[in-house]
Amino acid sequence: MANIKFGPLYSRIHELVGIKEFADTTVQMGFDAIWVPDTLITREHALDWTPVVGAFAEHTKDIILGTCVVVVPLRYPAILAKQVATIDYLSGGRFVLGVGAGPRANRNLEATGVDPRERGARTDEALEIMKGLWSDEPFTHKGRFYDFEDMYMEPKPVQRPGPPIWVGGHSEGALKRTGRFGDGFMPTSITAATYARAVVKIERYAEEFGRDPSTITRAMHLSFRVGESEEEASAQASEDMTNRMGRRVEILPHESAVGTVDDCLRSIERFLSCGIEHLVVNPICKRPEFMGQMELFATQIMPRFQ
Amino acid sequence: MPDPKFGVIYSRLHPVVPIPDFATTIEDSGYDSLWVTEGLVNEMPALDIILALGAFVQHTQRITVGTCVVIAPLRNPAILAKETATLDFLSKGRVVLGVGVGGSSNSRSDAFDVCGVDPRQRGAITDEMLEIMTKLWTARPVSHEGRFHSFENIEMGPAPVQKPHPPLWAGGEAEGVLRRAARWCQGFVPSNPGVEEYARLWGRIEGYADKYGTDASRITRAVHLYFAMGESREEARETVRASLAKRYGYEPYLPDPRAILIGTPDDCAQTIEDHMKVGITHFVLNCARPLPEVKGDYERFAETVLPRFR
Repeated sequence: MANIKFGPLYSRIHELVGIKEFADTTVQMGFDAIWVPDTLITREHALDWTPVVGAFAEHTKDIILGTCVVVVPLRYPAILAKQVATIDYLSGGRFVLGVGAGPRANRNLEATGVDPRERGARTDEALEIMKGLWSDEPFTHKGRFYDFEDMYMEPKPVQRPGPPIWVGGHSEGALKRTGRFGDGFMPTSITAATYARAVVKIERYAEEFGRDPSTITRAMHLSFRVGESEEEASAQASEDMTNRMGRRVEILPHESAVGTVDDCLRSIERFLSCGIEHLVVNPICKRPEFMGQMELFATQIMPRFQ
Repeated sequence: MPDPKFGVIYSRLHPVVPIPDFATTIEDSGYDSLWVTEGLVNEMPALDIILALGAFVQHTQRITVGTCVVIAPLRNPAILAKETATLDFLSKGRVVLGVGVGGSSNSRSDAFDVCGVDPRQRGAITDEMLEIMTKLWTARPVSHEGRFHSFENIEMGPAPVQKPHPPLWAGGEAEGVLRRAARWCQGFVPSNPGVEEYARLWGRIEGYADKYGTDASRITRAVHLYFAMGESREEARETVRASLAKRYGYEPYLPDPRAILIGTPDDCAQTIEDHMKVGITHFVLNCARPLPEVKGDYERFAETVLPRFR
């Protein structure tokens, strides 16, 4: 089996585990990456991704740093392009830009004043603008939301032509976006069967846009919880997630890796059969159990795939 | 009167002095604060201001770190509020957010154009931003109905470490800046106005504070000064002129030599004493030498001038 890459999501535990401690622990445990979500308005308090990814860049040397995922339509594309180029600069070219349009019912959109119906179109246009601003030539753009001539941004990202863009979500819009702009595909809450179908669609979209689908990295965000049994772990994870979100959320066994170590291994193997090479792993548990779950994953699950 | 505070600007220095090196040097030299500028497009390479500040937070323990200044109208208020609160958390309460409206009326509007923001609305946008950010930091849940933004029952967490929130400093000298400083800000940081002009600007702020019912005495009086050490004021002024012309690509407007911090250690100390007479307590030095000489000049100041005020 190929060398599968794993990275935890750093989220909501900032009061328990600081950035440097988390970075050191993650590297020590043998993970390949650290991922940070975009949590502008959340019920459970969480830090902003920008300074957090920047801080991880200062406290790590080799591992991948990424967002899972930045909600693109909330932001001015030029500001986001500058922030991404800066992270890539500060990290010496280790950044992966995970992007999403955000769900339709989204307090982030409300807080920033973005019309939910425009979120997909804004995301696409932003990706186009960012790529243009990262290019070597002055960039002129005429679009639905932005219109400008001869703009030049420096410093450029270290990675050329830009950091990999991994698209989150698996709506039709997300699949098309992956085919058009994606260097990677990184959905969440998805079954292996749906993933396999999504890949076929992405390949078709990529060809429509004249791109080589084999260059698109297959990744996913995977909720996990190691417990007594699949039923118990699924129920506990669902309860914890429901409490966190303030609405009923199910962590379903077929869309996650829950249960005993063997259950989790089987679930992951099922996803890997879709050609997935990179997993963002997110322990669904109460905050004090976060690091313990990560350790279980690192010692009992991850080594089987490395 | 307490000792004045001294801080330095990190602007476009990343190709010659990496952030960790600069952070350590400045903190160890005895400075009180470290400030980052921003630049978006069609100008010299500059890092993103929030990320650069984030990196400085990681490499300092004691000093204040801040923006001087972030171009407020090119940011979304909710996002900037969240970024600032996060920086405040990561720095354990050492962040100051200096805000500006972006350039003078005759400067190019490229940064506005690339963001699709009308530069004529920049003052109004900034006013509403300061209101929204202050609310998001201090009240919850927050509803807002304004000209540029409207939302209901938004709650943002975590709240900043500093209470009620990280200080907002108003950068610039325009009438709108003075009004904004009195109404929303905890600091005022104009650029090279000269002592007499500073006193006049401050008088205006006090007038606005009366109007808004705020307390001007709680506003930190700071100043941003071009800085270069040299054999004499004349020689240093020529250094500043040539360096800025090269940096910006046009002949800079340079104020009276006594309105900027140039010359020998004695000259610099005299300029500082003059400025202290109008109540200035925080000096932000922006070294205008060629980039490779900037760090050394800040170190010279820390050795030869700074101890005279301790």
